[in-house]
Amino acid sequence: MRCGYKCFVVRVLIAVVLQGLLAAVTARAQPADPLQLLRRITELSKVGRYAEAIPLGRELVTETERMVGNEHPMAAMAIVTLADLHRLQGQLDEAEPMLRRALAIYEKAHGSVHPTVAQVLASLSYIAIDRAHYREAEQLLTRVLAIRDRELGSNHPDTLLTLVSIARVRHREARYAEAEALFQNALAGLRKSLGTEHAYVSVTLNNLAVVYKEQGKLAAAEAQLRESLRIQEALFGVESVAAATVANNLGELHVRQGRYAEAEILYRRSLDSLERALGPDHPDVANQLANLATLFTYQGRASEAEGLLRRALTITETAVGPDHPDVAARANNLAHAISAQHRLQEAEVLYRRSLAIREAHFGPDHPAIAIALDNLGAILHQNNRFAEAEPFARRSLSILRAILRPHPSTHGQ
Amino acid sequence: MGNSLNNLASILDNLGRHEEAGPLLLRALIVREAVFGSAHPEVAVTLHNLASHYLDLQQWDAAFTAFKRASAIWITRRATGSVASEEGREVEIRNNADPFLGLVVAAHHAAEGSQTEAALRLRAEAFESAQWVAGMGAASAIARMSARMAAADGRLAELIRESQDLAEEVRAADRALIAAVSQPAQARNSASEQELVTKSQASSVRLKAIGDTLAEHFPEYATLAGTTPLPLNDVVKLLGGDEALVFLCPAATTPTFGR
Repeated sequence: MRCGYKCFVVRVLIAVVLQGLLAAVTARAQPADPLQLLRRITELSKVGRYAEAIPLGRELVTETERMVGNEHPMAAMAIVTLADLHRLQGQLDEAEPMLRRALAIYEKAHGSVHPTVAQVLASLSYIAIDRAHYREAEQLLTRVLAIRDRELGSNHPDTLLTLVSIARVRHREARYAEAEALFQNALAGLRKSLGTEHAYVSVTLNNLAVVYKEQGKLAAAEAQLRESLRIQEALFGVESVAAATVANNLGELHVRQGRYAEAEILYRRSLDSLERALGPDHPDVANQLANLATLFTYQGRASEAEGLLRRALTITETAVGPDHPDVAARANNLAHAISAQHRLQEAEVLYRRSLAIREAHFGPDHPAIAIALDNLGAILHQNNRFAEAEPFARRSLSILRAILRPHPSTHGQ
Repeated sequence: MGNSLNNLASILDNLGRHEEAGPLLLRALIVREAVFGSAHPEVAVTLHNLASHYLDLQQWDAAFTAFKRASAIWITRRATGSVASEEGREVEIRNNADPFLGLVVAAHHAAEGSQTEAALRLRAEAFESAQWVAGMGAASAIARMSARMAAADGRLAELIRESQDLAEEVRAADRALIAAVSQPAQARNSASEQELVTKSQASSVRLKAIGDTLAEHFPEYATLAGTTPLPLNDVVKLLGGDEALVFLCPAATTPTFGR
């Protein structure tokens, strides 16, 4: 989920920078070095090898600033290219100040309503999403949408992609019906303007499928994910990060369907691709490790799962800090693996930590809180503390009843 | 939602508030069947909880039916390869042995003091179910060993031994790989990890080839190795007039519980 269409946003940005630099290079007859850097960065980004592209991005910034000065919009484009690489590598704290600097340059040069400004704001919104700062993300995206609507028109792919981003935020806030409607609108528009085989279409299908899954529409989710995976593999290769992201989601769906054998094949393949491209300490790798581990827990390999999950928890804590919802998810998975080994006290501590993080982060009626309450109730129950368990189970049920009334569903994770 | 309903109902059952638990369990079952279809592990867990609920209420026939549906789900999953490895399949049955045991208890009570045909059928089903609890892994291992010892054909014994060794190699390589992947980045060695993957793949290929050979040339072994419980009637036929089979079934200590 983390990479997804952001890869393509990077590519769009790179194309813009490329055009600008091409003009500059031709006009000033400078050596073609930045162009080669850009080509290489584009190639590496396409397969998700951001870490390798980052040093080239730094060179690009230096080289561009040497050519045009550090207040020129072209320098801002180079900075945004580098910042996006950092962001996609999970280095959010490095990416954000760069984007702010680029934003200031653009706003000074073009005013605050300009497509370049929208691009930087969109990148900032992805950082906010990764940090689980959903209100901030939505505010940024609302600005992006307003600019793109006005400057590019409402049917432009970039405008439609903004709808996809807004829908992703709604999805994470458990506003499933709204998210689904937005994804479907965007999907129809993107198919109309780009055809059925485009990466934007594939990424939207992937997102739509995950919302279907959350709502318990498993058959619909599977159809969309298979279509999305087919397109990603055709465009980027079977072993690409883009394909791995979708393969992971299909694996998660298969786990929900009880089809563990199929899920395991997808998880292992995806883990391999992600580690190769992103390195072993990337947050997406941690997510993949956690998913594989959870599957192991279900299949009686809980002690091995525990090892994987401790590793995943460390990576996630390092990448996003100790209070992020992703840490809550890891703690939750780890608690499963530990309770499967009958260490109920330890599991209870982790479930309580997971609940505390989620309560601090989400509104009181979010399903992630319901799941945490449910798990805490379950561990107390297993420990024969029935009377203590009941209020947790009741609160969980009342949250889910409120959210899922139109579509009965369950949440296992 | 099914999860929450299921968990709350189990808690209420344990608190002795059965009249509150019943409707929640039925609702959980409906929700889970609607989302997952009728052959899903989550459905099996809810059926098990529902059956336990009926057991608490001493509604033996209802309990029997629900336990039977729950255990049928696990048996089907084992047969259809929903779980990848033989080891994983054994683990899944072992981890979910409670409905098999529950079926024995429910059948015992439902048939108590009766010699009707229906009662005999219940006892026969309980006997088969108990064999699942006793551990298919052990049963299968004994079957394989005896097949090996009985085999006049040296080639069969050879193939079986090799396939058992290969299966263990694959498992060991995978355990080593997962242990390696669990290490911090600086402690990892991609060359040795790749070696494990290559080794495991080679063993898997060979294992598959042996499986094909066995199925083709020694079909009676393949049948034996895929052991299913022996029906009561077949066992009775094997016993002499003055013989009795005493079959002890281990009791579960913890209830199956929703994830």
